[in-house]
Amino acid sequence: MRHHKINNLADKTAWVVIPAFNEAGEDTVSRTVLSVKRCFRNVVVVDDGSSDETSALALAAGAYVCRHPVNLGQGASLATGIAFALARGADAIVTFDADGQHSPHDAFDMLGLLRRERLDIVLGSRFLGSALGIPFHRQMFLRAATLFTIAATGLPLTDTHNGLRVLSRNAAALIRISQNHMAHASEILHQIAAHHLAFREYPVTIEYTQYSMQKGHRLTGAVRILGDIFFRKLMR
Amino acid sequence: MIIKFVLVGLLAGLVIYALTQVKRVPVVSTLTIAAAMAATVLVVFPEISTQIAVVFGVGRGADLIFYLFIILTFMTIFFLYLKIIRLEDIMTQIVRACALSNYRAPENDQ
Repeated sequence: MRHHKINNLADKTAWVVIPAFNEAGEDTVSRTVLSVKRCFRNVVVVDDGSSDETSALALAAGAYVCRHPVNLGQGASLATGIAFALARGADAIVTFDADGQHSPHDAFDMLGLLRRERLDIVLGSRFLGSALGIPFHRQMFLRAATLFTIAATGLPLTDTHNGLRVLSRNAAALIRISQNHMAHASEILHQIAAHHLAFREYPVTIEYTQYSMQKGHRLTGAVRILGDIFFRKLMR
Repeated sequence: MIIKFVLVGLLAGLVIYALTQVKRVPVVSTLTIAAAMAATVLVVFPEISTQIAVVFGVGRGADLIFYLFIILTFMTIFFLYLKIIRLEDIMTQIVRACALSNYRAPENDQ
């Protein structure tokens, strides 16, 4: 197993934000936090109103825990986690999924890239990297969603719905996530385009396990996302 | 003919209820009373609605009222939905403030 020497600077000021909703099954959140903690010192899990032991497990595994008393959605959880990390002096923030699909080593490499090239955002791409065990219909759906988002944002991306990102402090403070649910992914990209933030994609490995696919997104979610985006535009 | 009594009765009930709510929701109550009074006039003298409809090029008074009703209903639903979204924003802020102020640190905090 690769051990990453934790760089002193990155160690103290980088924060990993993990939104989680009912991820206590099969000790998933514990395993995720423990694996992330091998590469990163500061981890905060945002418990989005789970009805199981997510908070307790995350805490025991060594993460800070912010708990929403009611379920708000993944976008809202990210926004809460980012606010928490910024308040603790984070100068780089990693967004990381709780379900075990992401690799902490990818995140660590992405952080290195961000710092070296002084970027604002590094976005993980499974289509540049690999999507292990991805079901066919899921891949087709993601590719379609990606094409749509590329057209909508004007950004030349290969993967527009990847939860693995690294943000600089500047980017994290600038980007305002107002979409509580799944439309936050597109919202983040729209703001990257609007603020002309310096970004790069990085090849990552997404592992589709039985567990994570059970909790996957439904196609009706896509309709909901479009609806959310439409109404938000009206309110501007 | 009976329908006129039923409708006027219901509208009268609505006006009385709206009057009791004037302090709580002044604008909506006033609008409701005004609308109920206009509706009462149209129920008692339906010819008036036809006279107005003809001016707008609509054949029957009832048709004009129907069209206006549909549009007003859609507008109301639309504004209510936007209001719900605003309420959700407020709720999010409250829940977030709660989560941030009640954070928990892991035992082995460095």
